[in-house]
Amino acid sequence: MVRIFKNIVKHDTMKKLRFLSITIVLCLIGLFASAQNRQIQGTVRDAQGPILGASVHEKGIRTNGVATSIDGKFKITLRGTGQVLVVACQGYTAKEVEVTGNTTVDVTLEATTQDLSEVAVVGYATVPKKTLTGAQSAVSGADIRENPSASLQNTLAGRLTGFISQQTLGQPGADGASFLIRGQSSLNGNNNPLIIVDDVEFSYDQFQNIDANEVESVTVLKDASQTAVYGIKGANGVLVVSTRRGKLGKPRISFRNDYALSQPTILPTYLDAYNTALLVDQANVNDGVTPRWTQADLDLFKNGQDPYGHPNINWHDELFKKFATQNKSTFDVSGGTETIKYFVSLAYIDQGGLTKDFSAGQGYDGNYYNHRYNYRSNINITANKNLEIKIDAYGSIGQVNTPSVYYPSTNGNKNDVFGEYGSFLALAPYAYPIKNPDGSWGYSNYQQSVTNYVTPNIIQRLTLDGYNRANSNNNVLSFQATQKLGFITQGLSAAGEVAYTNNYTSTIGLTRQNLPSYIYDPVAQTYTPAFANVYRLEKLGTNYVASSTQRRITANASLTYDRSFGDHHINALMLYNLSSYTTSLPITNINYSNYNFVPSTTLGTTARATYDYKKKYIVTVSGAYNGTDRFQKHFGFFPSASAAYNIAEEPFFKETIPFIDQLKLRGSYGLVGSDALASGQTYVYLQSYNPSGGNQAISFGETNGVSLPANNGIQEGTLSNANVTWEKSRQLDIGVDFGLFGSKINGQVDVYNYNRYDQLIGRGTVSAIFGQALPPVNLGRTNTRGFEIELNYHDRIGKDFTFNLRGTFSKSTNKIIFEDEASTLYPWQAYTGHPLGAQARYHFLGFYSAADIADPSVAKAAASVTKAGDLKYQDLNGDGVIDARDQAVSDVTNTPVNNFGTQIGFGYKGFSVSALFQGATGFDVAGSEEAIRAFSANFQAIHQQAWTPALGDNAKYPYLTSTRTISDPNFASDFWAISGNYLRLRTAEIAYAFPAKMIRKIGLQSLRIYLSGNNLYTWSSAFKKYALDPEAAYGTPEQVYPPQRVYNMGLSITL
Amino acid sequence: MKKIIYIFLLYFFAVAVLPSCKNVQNEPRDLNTLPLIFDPQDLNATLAQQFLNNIYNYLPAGFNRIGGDFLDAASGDAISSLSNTSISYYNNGIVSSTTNPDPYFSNSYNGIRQVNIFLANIDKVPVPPTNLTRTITWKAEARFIRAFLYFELLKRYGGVPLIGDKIFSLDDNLQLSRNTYADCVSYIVSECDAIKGQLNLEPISAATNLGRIPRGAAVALKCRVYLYAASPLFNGGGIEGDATLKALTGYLTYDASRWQNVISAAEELIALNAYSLVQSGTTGYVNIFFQKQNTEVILAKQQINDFALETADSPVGYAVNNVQSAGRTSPTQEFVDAFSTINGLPITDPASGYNPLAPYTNRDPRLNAIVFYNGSLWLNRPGGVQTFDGGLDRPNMPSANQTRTGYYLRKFLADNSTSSSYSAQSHNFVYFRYAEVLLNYAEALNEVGRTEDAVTQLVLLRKRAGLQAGTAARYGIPAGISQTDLRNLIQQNDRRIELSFEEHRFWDLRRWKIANTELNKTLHGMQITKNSNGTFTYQVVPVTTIVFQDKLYHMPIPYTETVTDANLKQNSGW
Repeated sequence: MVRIFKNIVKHDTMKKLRFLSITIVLCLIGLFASAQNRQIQGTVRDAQGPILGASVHEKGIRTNGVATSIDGKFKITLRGTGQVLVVACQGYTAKEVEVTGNTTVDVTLEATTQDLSEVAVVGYATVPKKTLTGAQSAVSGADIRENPSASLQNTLAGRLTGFISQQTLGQPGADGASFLIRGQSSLNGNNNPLIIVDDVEFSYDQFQNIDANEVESVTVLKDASQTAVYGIKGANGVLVVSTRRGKLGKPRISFRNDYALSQPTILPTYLDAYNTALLVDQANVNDGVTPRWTQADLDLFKNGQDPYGHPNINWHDELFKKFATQNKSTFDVSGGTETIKYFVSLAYIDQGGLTKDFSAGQGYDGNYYNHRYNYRSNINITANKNLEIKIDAYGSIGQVNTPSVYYPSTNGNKNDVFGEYGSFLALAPYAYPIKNPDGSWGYSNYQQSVTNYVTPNIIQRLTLDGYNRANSNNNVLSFQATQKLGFITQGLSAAGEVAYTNNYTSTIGLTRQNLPSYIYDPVAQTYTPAFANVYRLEKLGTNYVASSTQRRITANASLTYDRSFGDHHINALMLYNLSSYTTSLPITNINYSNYNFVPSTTLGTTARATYDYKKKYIVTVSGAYNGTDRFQKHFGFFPSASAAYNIAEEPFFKETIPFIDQLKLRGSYGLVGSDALASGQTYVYLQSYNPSGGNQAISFGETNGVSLPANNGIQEGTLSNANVTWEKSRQLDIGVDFGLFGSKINGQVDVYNYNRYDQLIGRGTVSAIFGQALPPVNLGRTNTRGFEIELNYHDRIGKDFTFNLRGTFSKSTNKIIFEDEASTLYPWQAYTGHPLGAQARYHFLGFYSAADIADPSVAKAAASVTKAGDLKYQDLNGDGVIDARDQAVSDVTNTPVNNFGTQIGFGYKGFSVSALFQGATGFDVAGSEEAIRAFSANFQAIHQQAWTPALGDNAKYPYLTSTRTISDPNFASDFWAISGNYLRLRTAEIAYAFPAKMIRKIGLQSLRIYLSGNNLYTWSSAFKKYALDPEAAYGTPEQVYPPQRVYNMGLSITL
Repeated sequence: MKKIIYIFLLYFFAVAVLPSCKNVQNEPRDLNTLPLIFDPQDLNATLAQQFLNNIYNYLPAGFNRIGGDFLDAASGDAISSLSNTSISYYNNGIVSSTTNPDPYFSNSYNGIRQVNIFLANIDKVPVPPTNLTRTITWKAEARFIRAFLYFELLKRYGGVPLIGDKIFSLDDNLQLSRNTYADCVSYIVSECDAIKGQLNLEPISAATNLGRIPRGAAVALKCRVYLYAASPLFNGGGIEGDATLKALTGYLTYDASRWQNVISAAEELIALNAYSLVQSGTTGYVNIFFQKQNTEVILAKQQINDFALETADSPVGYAVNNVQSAGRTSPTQEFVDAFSTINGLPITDPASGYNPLAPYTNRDPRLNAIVFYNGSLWLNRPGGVQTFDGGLDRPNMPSANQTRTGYYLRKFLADNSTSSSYSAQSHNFVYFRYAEVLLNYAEALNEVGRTEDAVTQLVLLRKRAGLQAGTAARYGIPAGISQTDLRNLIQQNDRRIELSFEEHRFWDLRRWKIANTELNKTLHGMQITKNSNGTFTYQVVPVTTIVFQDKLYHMPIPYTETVTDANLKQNSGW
């Protein structure tokens, strides 16, 4: 305690304040002895507890002020005639307190969620937002924490401009959305933004597992002026996560506990056995074969009198719970003294699975789950007034479980409950009875004769087949020291950082095969084994795969110079950066089959200088000279320049338009790079000669059929490209930041135009006579442009009612300028000029009628397969035949063009309500095979609207057939690609914070309870039409673990 | 104090961080390089030999290589049991320059490049004193494969660009034009003649060289090239109106002497005295395909023993290790009807003894070796294969795969009549065998008017097949048969059956120019009903109608090639 006190005394500003106040008190005593002389004392606190170092002064007399002590206590003697105190502290909204008649006041300050409104995170530093010249969008940790989702990126959708995310999966531990910043630009398929967590590069997987409670802010750096410091890795945008750090004050201990129920946003329910059988018969009639099910069968399906011979199982109800549960607890301690500040947290999340707990009683947990522990210890040590040291240790330890439902199939091995649930061949409603009358596991003749889908009883597999479990272990240690070098020149400081990341993953499986089940014949009352020679349950077997260790060493050394000369201010940074990554992941590579722990190193020097005059005219130049060992020419220079003009600071402006108190015009232009190669490519500049073999291995001179080493093969691999280099992007961004009415309304608008060139693409114009696969070459060019608007409005009505509104809108379009495409036969076949990822599609005109079929002038796919009720496509080239040449490249892709979000929040005293609506438009989704195609997928309502002569063009689905025709979803067409536009109530929270007075009695600093949710409601036509989640992977061939709707309730306590 | 800390920090940085930048292994050091493969020091030529081994992988795979189906499932002899697999594009006419299931274009040129790299570098490798001809033999093997790949292109597309020993670099002009059909024939033949003396001489040592190219393969390839060149489609009978195009896909005019080339090549092979027909009663025919080494096979693709083929083709009612057999191929009734009865007479001949109530008895023994029919013995199942309606192998379940014709393909499978499960067996796809040479020989002899000499050759094969000798030991071939009748017999019976499913018929129908009739018809299958007394009723039923357009006589040059190489002329009709 004594030591803390000493430290406070040491503190510069404290010293000054104390000196000042003492002086002033003395003067005032002498000069205004006649004025009131009332002493007021009290405590300043926030939701978590007392605030140290808050300033309290008498309104109107700035000189009469004091600072609060470690307990948040202050004493002040009023000198003037006013009766109002002003309480302020950085990071909090200043408050005026009337003290008429009081001698004791307790003041509770509210944290401005916005450190972000004043400070902006940029690469390797923070800067005052006022002097920011680039485009970025940020969200605070507090906002993120409103969303109970387990994966960090799922909390960001709709909150940030320029951030496009798509969550395709909801499986516990694998539900992180994929995301892009300002859309796609690279033709090589690698558009992932760089993720930086406290200056350390993270992968998507690592990022997903960050606990939201540890996050101070997430910032998206968008334009070249922001990303050029990352040079060769900056072109896809950068996402920067800053974590929470300790603040001066007593230890604050917080608990937060969340309990949530989750259920799928959408999981189709399928027709029952009777209706399925009806449609099967309908298809059989269409195909001209004897209907599979007789009227007697149909009756039995309908009346359920033969549950073993004609089962009718609602697999949805048999397999899945109504809700899965999710449990999350976080615990953190933060605080600090002058010497040491700390933020220490622990978190545990338990995400449960949707399938019922069939394996309960087997002695293991076979259900889906995600268990994750997060820990973080962020320590700041102020060794002396010039040296600051940060020691951070953090990580996550996770275990993701999946039930084993493995079965081998000549159609690819299967091991997915949801895929099977949607599959007609695997799990028709009449597939088999679950149990036989004697208690044995059921099976049926029907299922036994389904080619490629001889799937053992699914409930039996879920019960007895064991599990597969992935363990991951991601640990980061970071050491950073900052030394002020004032003894050389004022404002100079040096810093160094070393961080080590170790991410280890392994999988274990406890599985078994050959499960005995029986086909029960209700007439003869016999039990026939479903599988020959399988009568007993084998023991479980273990398999363990020690997968890999990924190591990353990051080292930075930097010099910072920050100094004001009167109205001139200079901030400059010079940084040396090294990041070295090794992994043993076997990556199939065009020129090298295995990473084999060869490090991938990026290193270079980064510099940035900002000059501002009166914070009015600001110029920033930055650049990186950095490189990678993935290219023979290692280093490149990536410069950018940006400028801003705070026009609202001009006196004339203040006079003419006083209600605009902030208006900044800014622009930036620069060059950034991307060293990302297409998936599976590493050392493109090296020519290699690869082993050949596998099933094609030749085997000379053998009589026993065993492969001999002498028979190995070796071959020339894909040619090398010695000149391979990084992709480059020239990025122009023009923006306006504004604040109106005391910044109650504020926002920003950005317009950008990116030209990405030297993209690594495959050659499309070299004849195969060349005889070898060609390496990627730096030829591709694309253009990405768009605009973003962010608008915030916050205000209060009366004393207690506050509200805020935040809207974000981002539009991003792109097109291919050049991709070395051979001149096509017809103009509509060319991809050039269309968006990245565009698909060639047929254009749907309607359904073939019987008359169309008879009419030879109506184009058909091929005379023998087209029937009435098939999808009629436009014959673009007019040759009378529908073939690939009639597929035109579309202009709509699976990446949304428009992304928007609206957040609305209200607060009244302790109550607060907030809701975030998020949506995306301008994109397509499609399903195929077991997601939607009749006879591959189970039958759902849409199939009942299949074409019949009576329905004609009112049909919603082509005529039912078990054979494949041009109507098959595998033939891309604009019939199957449907609009993905959606609007979601992404996040909502209702919270109540108990009044401080009430809870202090039970020894708490704060107590808050809340209800929150994720994906609470969705408006989407894709939902209605095909029961597809609009964020599903394009053309998804099967059902997957669907994204979850989460209902959460929680409690947070601060001691 | 602070200076000390500062200095310490600098020191720490220098010690801990800077060294990590030096001596970093920043690229793989375990790569194979060209100097390492063709190592002037390595007397063993370890990697050079592996480079040659790999070149063998460019030889076609055979069997069910086209999306799981045999090429012969597009020759009228069979259809795929699955609907809409890629092989069906040939049957329903939706082949196009973008959807050809069997282009073999880039693969061939890829192989040719590997050969050229081998030829350009192998002389760097020293020749061991104990084996002075090693390099010569290896080069000959590589050149054979190159010639073979050119032939694969030639039979599909007609003439293609001949690139010689060229190894292209990206700076080379790749706007190449096609060579004429005549150029390509002479190139392949000249290569065969040049290397035949350098290849491994028969007898081939089973322990080391089995599967490597023998001398006989060069002669057999030459024989086949000549056979195609002499055939109606290529010998002046091209369908193209345009003379330039016609010269690319065949000879402009007919020349009877081209048949003589076939005769001399066949006689050259026979004179090697290294090959003979496998004879061992009625199992002789089966043994050709799963005995790794035998006297009949000239060249086959050596592969590791497995039972993938058994799983792919056996009737669907058989499951081994819980894996259901796929029964991918359904031979047609037309094919089954092409088998004579045991006395060598066609089933339409009243003297043949054919009984429609027991259609599979007293037939050419090869029927049992090539086709699974109702009652064939397999995996010890009592009563054998059940392809009657509702039988285990034709359950008539919706969406269940099963034969569409009542037959499954048995050829190439090891004899599992009485085993309890499949076992790994040799399945070497045969490219050349003695029987083919005899058939080429017979066909050419007949075409030049030596019909009785041709009969002599056919009798050898009929005898080996296990047919009864019959009158004058002519094995059912009528005495005094005319040239035309013998030609029909070869086309519809002897060659069709003997070489069935070895990727001959698909091309034979084209070179004979009879595809427009043979592949424009309704194909049939057998519907079998099991009667209550255990007997069967057989009824021939139509199964599918296949179509053939004249443009299909030559394959379309792949679309991507014609757009990337403007000088590459597309074939007529595509």
